[in-house]
Amino acid sequence: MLGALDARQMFDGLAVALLGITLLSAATHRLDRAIYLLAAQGIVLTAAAAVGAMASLSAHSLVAVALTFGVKALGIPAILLFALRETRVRRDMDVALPYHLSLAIAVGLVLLAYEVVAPLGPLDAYGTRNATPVAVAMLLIGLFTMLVRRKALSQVGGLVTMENGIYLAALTATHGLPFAVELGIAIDLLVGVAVMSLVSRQIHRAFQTTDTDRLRTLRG
Amino acid sequence: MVLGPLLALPLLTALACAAPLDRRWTERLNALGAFATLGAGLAAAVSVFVDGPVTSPGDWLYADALSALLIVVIVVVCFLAALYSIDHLRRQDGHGGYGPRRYFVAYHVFAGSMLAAVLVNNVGLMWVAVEATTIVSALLVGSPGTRAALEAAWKYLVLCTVGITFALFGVLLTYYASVHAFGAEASLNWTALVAGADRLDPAIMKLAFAFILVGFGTKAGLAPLHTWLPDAHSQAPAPISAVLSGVLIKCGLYAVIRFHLILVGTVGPAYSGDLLLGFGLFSVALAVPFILVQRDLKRLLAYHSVEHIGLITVAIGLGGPLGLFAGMLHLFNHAMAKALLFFVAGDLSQRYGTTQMGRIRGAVRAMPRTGVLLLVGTLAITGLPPFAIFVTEFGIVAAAFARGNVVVGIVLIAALVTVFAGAFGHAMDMALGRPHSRVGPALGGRMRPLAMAVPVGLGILFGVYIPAPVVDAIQGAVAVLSRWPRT
Repeated sequence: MLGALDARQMFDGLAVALLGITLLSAATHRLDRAIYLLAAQGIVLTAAAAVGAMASLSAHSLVAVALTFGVKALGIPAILLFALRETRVRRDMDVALPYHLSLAIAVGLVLLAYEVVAPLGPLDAYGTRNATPVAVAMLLIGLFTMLVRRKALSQVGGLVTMENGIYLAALTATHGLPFAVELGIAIDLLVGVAVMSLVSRQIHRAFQTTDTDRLRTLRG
Repeated sequence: MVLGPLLALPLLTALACAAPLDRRWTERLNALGAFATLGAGLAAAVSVFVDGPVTSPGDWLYADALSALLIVVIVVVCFLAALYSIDHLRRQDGHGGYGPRRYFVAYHVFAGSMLAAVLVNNVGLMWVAVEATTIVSALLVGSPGTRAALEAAWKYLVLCTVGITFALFGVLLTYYASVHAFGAEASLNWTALVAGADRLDPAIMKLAFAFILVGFGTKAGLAPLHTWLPDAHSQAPAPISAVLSGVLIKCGLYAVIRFHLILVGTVGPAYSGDLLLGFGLFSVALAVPFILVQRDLKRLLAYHSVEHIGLITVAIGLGGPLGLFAGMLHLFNHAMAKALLFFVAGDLSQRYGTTQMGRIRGAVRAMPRTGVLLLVGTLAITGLPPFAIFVTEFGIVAAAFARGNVVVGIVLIAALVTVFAGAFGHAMDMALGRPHSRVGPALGGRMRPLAMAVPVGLGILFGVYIPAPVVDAIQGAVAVLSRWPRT
């Protein structure tokens, strides 16, 4: 059994680690690195789930640890790497914004997240300082990534970051969601990422690029 | 007891269609499976309408009259579109895209995911099911394999998945409120949440509803979150568009309604009701200019969907027995009219080789049945008597005035009249005149007329006479929605 204080400190540390990884992925333009950083997010989330499991000692949370590792640390990165190998797109060079600016905006979003969440007081069950604001920051940075990145796979990365943020919030706020729901979400996420990378491969074949900026024949 | 098999049937059908069989057999299994699902769905709905809500063991599945209404819409439209798909797909042969096996497997999984969305009791699993509908139907939207179809599929996937991620945050907030109110008894079961709604934290639930409305509202096609809808509806194969527009967007609205009912118990009807009224009215108003200037037939129909989902949302936001009755019946009527019109659009696009309205002329001469049904369908969707939509649109507008929302009533009337003028002009241009010389060969197929006969029949019947059992069924759904009546 893990003491409440230890759990709080661990969650705080893991949240900061997640924040660092998320900022790094906002700053990288290499798709393979972005995918490894997603895997790193998955590993940190697995650790967070393990802390939650030790603090609450329930069978469901132990299974949730394995599920998190399988889906977020292994499954999703593997699917994305496979798609990347087929399309042979290495870099997402032509981002809509220069990358110093996108990093600066990502940092701004983090500050915004802390600013918004701080007045609400500790929302989670452990009274951490960082978990909820980091979760909100991941939601915002993920959304921001989807808006400014043009390569289809980068956009999928943004989406996974958003989901990871919500998962972190769920872990600390309510010891996760009911197990059936978590299982369903994990399956949706895995199948969703698989379908997205399938469609992005089809787009690559049809358009000879995965640059979603070229996707503008449909208007009005 | 009746709900489990209803969920299993579409999945079994999908499995059967996956078998490596001759095309004919895959088509037959598809029709048979869709028919069985229709039977099971209608049986389940009737049992709910007559005997009240049904719960499965362990409270996993739950169906009241509102779910039953959605079940009817899902199984009827999915059955008709399954039949129409057979002819549509045959004609598409040799143009690339999905073959019958892949198509029908995805189709029935799609139908199953929509049934799951309206049958599960747990709102977290409802989220899972709605997200599953996006993933599967995106494959079908992209199934023609053309550049435009793939583009539409990608936009649809990205927009709806991002949107619904916000809804997941709303679900999490709801669970947070539930844990704080009920402690160890906390659950995400809708029946539990709505029963103890007055004990949930109002501030948290208001925030949750905002996220839910953005998330599931995207799926429902409420403006300004509707932008995926014209692309997906116009590029998907016509029978898939019929299901997207007739059924799928209503599953998104269904999820919003479930949370609205919790919110009404927590903070009263004004908060979520006014939000729904606002979003609904905005959708109706925004659709009008796009309908007027539209050049593509299927995009035109897509904006009709935005307009009508807006109307239903307005009716729910208004509340009151008249508005809710009209809104719930409108949900069914719109599904019928829209299925008919997308089947017509499918016929026209395959015969003329385009969905550009400017290049479709003389449909009544070239293909009399489809041409006449184009006019009939347009009169039906724009709400002219004796069609069913006239009755329900009239009811919604009357409800707006009756509840003192004069501005809402006037905006609705102005929008409906303008839409009628615009849409009818488009339809006359396509139906009348002389067909140009490049019209393709006749379509044939025995399923097309069958699939169109049902919505025409019901669309006229419900306009002149609504049988008593149907009235009772709709009243049942209204009763679910009036748990805490707005005063």
